[in-house]
Amino acid sequence: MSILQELTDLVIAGNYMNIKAKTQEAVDQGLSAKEILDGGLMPGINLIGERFARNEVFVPNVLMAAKAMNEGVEIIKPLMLDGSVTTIGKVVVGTVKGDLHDIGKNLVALMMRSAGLEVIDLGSDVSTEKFIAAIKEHKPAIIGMAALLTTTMYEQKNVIEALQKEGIRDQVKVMVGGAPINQAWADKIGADCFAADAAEAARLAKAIVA
Amino acid sequence: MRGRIKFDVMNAQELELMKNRVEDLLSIRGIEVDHPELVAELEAGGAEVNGHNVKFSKALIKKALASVPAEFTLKSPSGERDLKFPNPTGDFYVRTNTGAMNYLDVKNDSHYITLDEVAEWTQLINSMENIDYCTLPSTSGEEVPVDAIDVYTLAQVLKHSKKHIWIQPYETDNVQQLINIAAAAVGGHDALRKNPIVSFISCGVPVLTWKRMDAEVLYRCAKAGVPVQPCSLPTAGANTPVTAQGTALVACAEVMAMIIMIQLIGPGTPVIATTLLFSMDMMTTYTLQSNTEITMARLICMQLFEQGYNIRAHSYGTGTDSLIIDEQNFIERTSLIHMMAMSDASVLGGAGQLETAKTISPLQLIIDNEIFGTAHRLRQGLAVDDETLAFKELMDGDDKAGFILSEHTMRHFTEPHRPRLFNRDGMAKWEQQGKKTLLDLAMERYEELLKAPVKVQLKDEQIKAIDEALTVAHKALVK
Repeated sequence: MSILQELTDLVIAGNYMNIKAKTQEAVDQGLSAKEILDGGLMPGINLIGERFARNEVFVPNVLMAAKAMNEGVEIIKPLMLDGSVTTIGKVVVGTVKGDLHDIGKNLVALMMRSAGLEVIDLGSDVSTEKFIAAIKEHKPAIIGMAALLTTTMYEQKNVIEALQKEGIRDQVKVMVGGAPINQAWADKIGADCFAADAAEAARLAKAIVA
Repeated sequence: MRGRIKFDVMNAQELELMKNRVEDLLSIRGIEVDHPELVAELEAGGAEVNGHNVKFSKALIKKALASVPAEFTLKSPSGERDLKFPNPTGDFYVRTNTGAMNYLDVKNDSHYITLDEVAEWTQLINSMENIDYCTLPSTSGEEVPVDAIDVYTLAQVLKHSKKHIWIQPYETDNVQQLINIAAAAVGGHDALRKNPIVSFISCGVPVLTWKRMDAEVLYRCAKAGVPVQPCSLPTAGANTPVTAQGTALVACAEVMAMIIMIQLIGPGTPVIATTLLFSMDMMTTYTLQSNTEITMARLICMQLFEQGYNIRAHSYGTGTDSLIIDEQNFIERTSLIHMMAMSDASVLGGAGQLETAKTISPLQLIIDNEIFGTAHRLRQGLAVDDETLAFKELMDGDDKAGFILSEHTMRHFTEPHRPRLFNRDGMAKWEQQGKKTLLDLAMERYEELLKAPVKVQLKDEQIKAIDEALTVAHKALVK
């Protein structure tokens, strides 16, 4: 078995304990960072993603695979000419003001990271001002807002209105989700997309930044 | 309370371990509380405080639990359905779903709940003989001010409910307003303390953390002497351990922490330990109510509080992860209620709910009324004695003509439970009468119950007092 195949298998197995040493071994054998990434690590995470889409593996499998891949990437990162090559886009996520629920939002962040996106997680109870400031600072492709209560879902609307007021609505795609949220609500408040769950949020985000 | 048929999921050693671990968590790790006034009073009451961290020694836990009232009554606005705890018959009480935001109406349209539907829902609950108290749905923010959804919903339910009301607040500032509105309905705060027609829900954020709003519920209710059903809503694998047992431990520790806090601030305030456990599906990440292991974990919680601490306990009795009224729905809700009816629970909840508690349905409510009727019968069990064995009749041997005319039959023939809406006819008659399904019959009952217009239950002066309190709340809360 080639060392690249071994790296792929370690990612699939979520074996974050051994992947650093194996990646270093590949580097020592003279493989380039690009060869290791494209031929070893990425095929593993892509395969896990495909299996997840077919309901063949569980969320923890995906998260552990992503963790293993990131461990490998840490080894090759210093060797990369372009350090940004390991992420495919940037997302800001948060649970809106007045809402303390964060399980769903945390899962979205994890799944997006597993899909290769850089995620800036603002936490829960995030004010409109904080969302705006984060967009200006990080310039993400997407802003994801979670709301778990009928009382707080209106904050999603407030943030979208604030984006328009600030003149930055066109710079970012708005994704919304949460227990009371549906496509009709997303359409009504002018969001770009509605994600029913964490996996869909990651899939939509990947499509947006592609 | 315990019925004759009992599900004990823990043996004596496991129950003792569970008690010790709950108390270890509260005395060694402690809890995090974001409420300076509450924390200050807990410290004055003997808790060890370090910033937001609060620890309760085992001696303090024992002292606090000693003031949990052994007996109390949740009152009903009508006075027709007061709920004594412990239930004198050993039975459990039933409540409806709390906090749902969607209404699946009888035309099969699912939408955010309107204020008129809150009134309709409440009127239906009044007519459900097997449902003892109601909880607040979450009215749409399109209907009432977003900052005051809970207070407007409470005012609507108060006006229409004959039964006790369980309140779930949504904002810190709303808590006192909700208490004020309930007090207005009964003639003031002292009257509410004596005549608690409402109780509150307060939830921790797993693990062992209380944000300001939920701490405010504990604080205000303890001060007002309003009963609390302290609630833990953990999700196994997401914010609590993936094992059902670990999640049960967190839930019990959180509920126990709330009971201790309430008793230290307001000794003698009635409490019902409410553990509403969920799990995360590890493939879809959806939160599930009907996972088999988590159902058994609810039994652990019921056993811990009722047997381990002699504190009344409350959990889900019905509900489903199905999105509609289908076969999965009925399998999940009936298998759940059969287990919970034989647990130690004093209250079982979830009547009328679908979609993991996010949706309520009037037809499901009517069918759940039937299901809970069966569950009540299960809880009673079967006494075995010579009379129930019909031993004398059997020994006499005078049974050649069967039992239909026997004195024993005359004494007992009304006892078997007979669900009102279930088919008990043969095929020929069923076909002749239109081949009606359970849903058809539920629809007929719905139409029959709502023939009369939805009506308020209170006197004019009570309505006026509620409206005045609502106006004050609106001014204080709506920005």
